Amino acid sequence: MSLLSIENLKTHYYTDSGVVKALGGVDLILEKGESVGIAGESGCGKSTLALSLIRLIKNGEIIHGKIRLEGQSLLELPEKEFNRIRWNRISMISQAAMGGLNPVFTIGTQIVEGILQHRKMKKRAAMALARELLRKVEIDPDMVKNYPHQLSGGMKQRAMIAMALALEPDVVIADEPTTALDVVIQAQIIKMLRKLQKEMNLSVLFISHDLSILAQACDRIMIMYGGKCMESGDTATLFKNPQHPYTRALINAFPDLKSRRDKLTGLPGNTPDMTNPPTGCCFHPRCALVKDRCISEQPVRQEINGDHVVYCHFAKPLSEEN
Amino acid sequence: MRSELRKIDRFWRVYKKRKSAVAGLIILTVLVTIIVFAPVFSPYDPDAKDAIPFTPPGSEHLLGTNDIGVDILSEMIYAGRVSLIVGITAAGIVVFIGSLIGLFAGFLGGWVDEILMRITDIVIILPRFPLMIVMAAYLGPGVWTIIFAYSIVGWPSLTRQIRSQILSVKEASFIEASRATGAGNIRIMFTHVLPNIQGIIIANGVMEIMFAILTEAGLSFLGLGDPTQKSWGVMLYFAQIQGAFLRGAWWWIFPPGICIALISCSFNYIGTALNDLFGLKLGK
Amino acid sequence: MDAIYRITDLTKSYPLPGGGLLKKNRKVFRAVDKVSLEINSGDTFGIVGESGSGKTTLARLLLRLIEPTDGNVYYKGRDVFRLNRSELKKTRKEIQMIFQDPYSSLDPRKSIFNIIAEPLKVHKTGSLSDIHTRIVETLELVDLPTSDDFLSKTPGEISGGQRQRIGIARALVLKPEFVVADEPVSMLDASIKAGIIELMTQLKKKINLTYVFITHELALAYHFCNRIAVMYLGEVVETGNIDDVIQSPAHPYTRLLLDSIPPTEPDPDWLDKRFGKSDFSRNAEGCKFFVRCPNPKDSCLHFRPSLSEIKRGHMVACQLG
Repeated sequence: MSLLSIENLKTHYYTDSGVVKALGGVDLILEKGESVGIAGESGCGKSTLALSLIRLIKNGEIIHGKIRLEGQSLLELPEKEFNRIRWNRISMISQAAMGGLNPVFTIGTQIVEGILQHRKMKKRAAMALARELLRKVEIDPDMVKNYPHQLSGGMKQRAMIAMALALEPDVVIADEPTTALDVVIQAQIIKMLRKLQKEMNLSVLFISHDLSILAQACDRIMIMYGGKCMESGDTATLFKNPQHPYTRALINAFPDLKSRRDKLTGLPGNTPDMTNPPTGCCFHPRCALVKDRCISEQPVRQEINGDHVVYCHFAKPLSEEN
Repeated sequence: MRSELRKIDRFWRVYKKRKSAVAGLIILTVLVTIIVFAPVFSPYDPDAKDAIPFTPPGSEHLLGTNDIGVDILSEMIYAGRVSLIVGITAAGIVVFIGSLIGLFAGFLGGWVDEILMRITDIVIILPRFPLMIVMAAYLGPGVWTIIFAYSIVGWPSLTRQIRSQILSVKEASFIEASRATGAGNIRIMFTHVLPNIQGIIIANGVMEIMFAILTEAGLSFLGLGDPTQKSWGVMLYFAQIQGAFLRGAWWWIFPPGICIALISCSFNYIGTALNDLFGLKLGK
Repeated sequence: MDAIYRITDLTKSYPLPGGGLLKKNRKVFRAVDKVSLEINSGDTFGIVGESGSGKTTLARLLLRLIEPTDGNVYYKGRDVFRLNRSELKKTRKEIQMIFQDPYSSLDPRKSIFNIIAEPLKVHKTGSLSDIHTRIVETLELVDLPTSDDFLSKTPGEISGGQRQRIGIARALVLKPEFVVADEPVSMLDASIKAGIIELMTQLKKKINLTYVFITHELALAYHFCNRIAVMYLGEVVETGNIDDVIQSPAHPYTRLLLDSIPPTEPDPDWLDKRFGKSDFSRNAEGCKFFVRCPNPKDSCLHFRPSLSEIKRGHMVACQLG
């Protein structure tokens, strides 16, 4: 049994301009001790996926699908019971981490509060645990006495990570954990997260728009576009043998330092309007290889090799290629 | 042009969700229609003194008559014109002065801001109503006296609001972008800053009309209005000195009072709604 | 090649809070600290640095959007900060800027037409029909539609990528020689970003522009620029031809930056690299990078290095380089 499994998840938002079909049926499996990356551009539904997992969708709802944590179905749970799962078993390091700390309490107090809400233990012991957590995220344990404004952006993010790990959750969702940080700090934090993930045998869902970060931090990657999975597979395979035109475009869109390319190739057009998603394959308006079939027919799941899966009419399974 | 229509449509969709704002709009539309088309709606000549004085409401005179035999309903409809014109004019002047001072103080900053805001502070601490009474008494009663007195003391609170809005609009990078193209202060102030706070100005302007109408009514009731140009306030003033209260002529007192209350409420509801809606939209 | 811009000892400092009632002992924060650079005509000059490096302040100084505390900026031999009002206005016709935020850099109440028309109106270039022709030309240049319907839209009605193209069109409509682009793609999605960079590259070829490209992404600068300057806490620590700086970085900070960029494909060795300490405190007297330097010398604590040439055109401010 997988640790976390998501089946055909659909989430909609209700806005003035109509229903935003943010997730249009997503499947995902996360095993114990594994780090899975969710890659995609703004509006592809990656953050909605994260919020759906902890059931914090505002102005919208999960309309379809199943989420199971060790076999237990989460969507049917009453809110009160789900509260025990949130933070305790599924925790989240978010994009807006800097705002997540309350400026009037010390870092230590805030971690301790979080622990005591879910665990019965002495305040002293909780504080000792808080210090231990800060050591784990490589900041001075004496920082428990500091207020958030005394910490730099990178340190605040580390403190947030410490809080997310405090209760030894089964699943950690890291939603763009380094987006607002400088590149050096970003590298430090990714390195630390990867190290902790391996040491503590954590299962991490790493969400980012930056494919190169996921390439370093994840065992498997799922590429999302228009609220759907386009391609997923283990990281090395995906980069060596990308099957979906969008995956290829995304890989080519990132400038690298190895060789100076003459041209960076962008994609024409814009990310889709999810109140009115394109018919057939939702990538077809921007796809260079588009055929009639792509406009009329939604591509189905196609296994290339093992868990390398692609949703494209024109992807070739490994056997056909040879 | 089409985008303007789309904007109005989007605005209306949000606006109509507020019941009080819609109610205010309906009341205001009805009152303004009656006041504007006064000759159509008023049953008698408002200056004709040929009815029996102090007739209670009845089929001939729906709201009765006053001490000199004028039909109250007709008088009231015409008086609405004066109240509304005084209110709109005074509010217009206040908005003009207030926005301009706020605009210059907020956008230019430095010593300009320092001087203008100190003047604002001085005006804001003056006791408004007594000062207006003194001014009106000194300049002699009349419509223009009231407009003038109100304009002199009415602008500071608007100025402060406008200034604080401008301080935030000023930081938007499209202002810097405009400067980078070579545009000067005056151009930036009037083509970029002012249009971006016009919503706030309109909302405040609507509220100012309410304050001006109430102030006019108050000053006129005290006898500082123009007896030849009857407003609702002036009607109440005459009702009071001609003994409407002693004679129990309630039909002379309630109608103008209710009109003042209704029109103030409607402006207030609309202004509040506009303030919220435009306030939300600022920035993005 | 002749220098179109020459910057000498440029400093911009801001007072820090505190310093007592009379503010006599007020400390200052130097956002830009004695920067000297030369930008040649035809360059695509990258200025790279993290937040707080002073790169955006430097860009604003180049256009005189802010006044410096000290130092000079010469544009075509004339000191930008000594120009009078009308001279400055004339100069601004030649130097334009592309802004970072495609959302807040366009006035939300103006139509696309009016946004691009503004520079033309400010500089009073021709009649309304001339303006219309110029706008259509410029929109074609940046690959945007030219229909009246599109021209009447407001920024809120178009996508982020299109907005940034409008920002570029506004900068180009006066046919400038020199364009400062302040993180023009940092807020855009990867697929859109590459398209904008590609557009800027083509524009340079088509209309002979000189760019200053401010960015925090070294990899992007590598693909787009021919020369760069790496800034750290207000100082230029290394500058030179792009290939020299990227392939043989001489300053430890440049090396740290390069190491920190995640490779674009899986690289198991990357996470084994050392990314230094997260300490950001300043070293008032000596080298500003001292506290983060992987192998500093004792003398670095007291001696602040200045830029010196290690190879033709490749300068570095480090005793160890």
